[in-house]
Amino acid sequence: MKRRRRQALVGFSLVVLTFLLAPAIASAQTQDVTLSSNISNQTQQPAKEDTAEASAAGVSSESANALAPTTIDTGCTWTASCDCFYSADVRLTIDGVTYDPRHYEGLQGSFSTTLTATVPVSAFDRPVECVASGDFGIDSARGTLQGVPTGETTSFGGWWTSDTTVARWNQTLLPTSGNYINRHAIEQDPGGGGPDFCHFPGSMFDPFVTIMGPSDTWIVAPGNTWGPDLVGYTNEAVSYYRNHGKAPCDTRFPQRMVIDLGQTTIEYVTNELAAGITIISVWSRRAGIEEERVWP
Amino acid sequence: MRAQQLVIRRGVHILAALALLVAFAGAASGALQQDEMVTIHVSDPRPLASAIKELENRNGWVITYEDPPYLYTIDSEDVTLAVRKDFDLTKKVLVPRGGPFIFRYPVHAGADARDASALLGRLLEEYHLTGYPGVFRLIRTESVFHIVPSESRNTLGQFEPRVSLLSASISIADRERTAFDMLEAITAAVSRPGSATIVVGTHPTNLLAQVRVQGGAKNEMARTVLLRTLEATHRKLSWRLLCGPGPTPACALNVHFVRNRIER
Repeated sequence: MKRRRRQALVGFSLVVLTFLLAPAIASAQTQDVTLSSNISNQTQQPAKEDTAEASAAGVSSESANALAPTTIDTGCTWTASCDCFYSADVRLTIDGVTYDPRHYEGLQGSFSTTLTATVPVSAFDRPVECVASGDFGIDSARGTLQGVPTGETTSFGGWWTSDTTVARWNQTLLPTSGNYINRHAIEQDPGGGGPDFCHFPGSMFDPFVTIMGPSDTWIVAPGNTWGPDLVGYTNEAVSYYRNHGKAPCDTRFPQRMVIDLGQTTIEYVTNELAAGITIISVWSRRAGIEEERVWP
Repeated sequence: MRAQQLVIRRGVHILAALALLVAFAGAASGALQQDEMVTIHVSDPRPLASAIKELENRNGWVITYEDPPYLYTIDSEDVTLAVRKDFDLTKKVLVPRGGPFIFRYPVHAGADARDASALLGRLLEEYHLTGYPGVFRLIRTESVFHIVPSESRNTLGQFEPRVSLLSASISIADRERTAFDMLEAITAAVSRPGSATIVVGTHPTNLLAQVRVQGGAKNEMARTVLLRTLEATHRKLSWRLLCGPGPTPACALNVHFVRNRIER
């Protein structure tokens, strides 16, 4: 009996897990069986009544979002082909728990099946294993279902040297015992920002009512830190609005924070950003923590 | 870079504009009509800039806009009472004198770049009929369209030719810097004492602070340097160079993200 392994490509970052196998051939010397597995994730939003407000004060604030997804749908898609009759057992195991095991008997030619599991979002990485066994032998692929932060702390990192009316905010993802290093913290605009009370029709400055960027990204550094997130009116805008008698005035808008989960992303918190101008000072606020300075 | 220029014929016919407004007064803003026409209805001190923003949003095109000089008193409006919270009436707040503007076009227009050029040309023709400030022309740099001033009234109310501020030739020291710092360098280089002062306006701060650009400029057109800087972000960015009225205006270079075409 000839057992031949033709190819094994394992892409296991858990969001999309793919492997192609030509595993052991038990029943025919010249017939290969090819298996492939694809794991994908989908997130589910909690019910609205789960809403809770994040609040913080002092030099550092902690924000969390009860509207962030609470579960992840993940699964394996197995495909096989063989010019022979064969049987197969396939299963998906997450963190030691087996989900939706299936047995197939008398398969011939190509077959495909998807195993899925809905698991709670966890702050910590979990191992995932997809296993197929049958007449062709056993093959498996392993990956990691990455953890999702429960929130983040925000702390003031000084005023930006390139524009001294703009504050730098530094974040640490929570829990600190999680590991999010080298993943991407991404800001998104969920809409609903503004109004910019400094702006007026005909102003030479466009209204400041969103995060402005489509999806600004930071790579999470050791210590689960990312930043700086720059929030504030530019010094030219501050001078302009003061000179036009608009101060005191301010603006505020939401910022949805997501983290990458392989090839997709998942929300972990939505913050409110705000900035303001008074006659003698400027201020910046992120996730409930505020800094003010006399300017110029 | 290849540049195509379309010179738009100037015509200021207020009566024709009023007729146009009356004809389309019932149309809803941005609504798709049964005869497969799109109607853009804006009301703004800078109606052309506002209509262009709407076209950007609808079609995903990058269309930059630059204000003309507002020198003639009738081209600006005193909004001091509406704007100043301190009620210091000795310090006037002047803004361009705009108003409502309606532009209708077939829903299929702008399917390709040539259509887009023709559509923007038509937009300018219709805008010029309104009598609102400024005469503009269309410039194209590859896939980016630029609406720039070509004429505006002087203090006596006579039309004078204008050159885009961003057509100025500039030089910037060659070094690595953030895209934000490059924008500041460009605006500083374009600013001319006794003429216009340009500053960086509202912009995607985090994006421009993170992207690093290498190089400078040597007697290069400011618009080209600006395009190169924004291209380095690998995002679809556009700008609005907005200026206040007066002989030595202050202007802000506002940069914004352009979303892809709205699927209908």
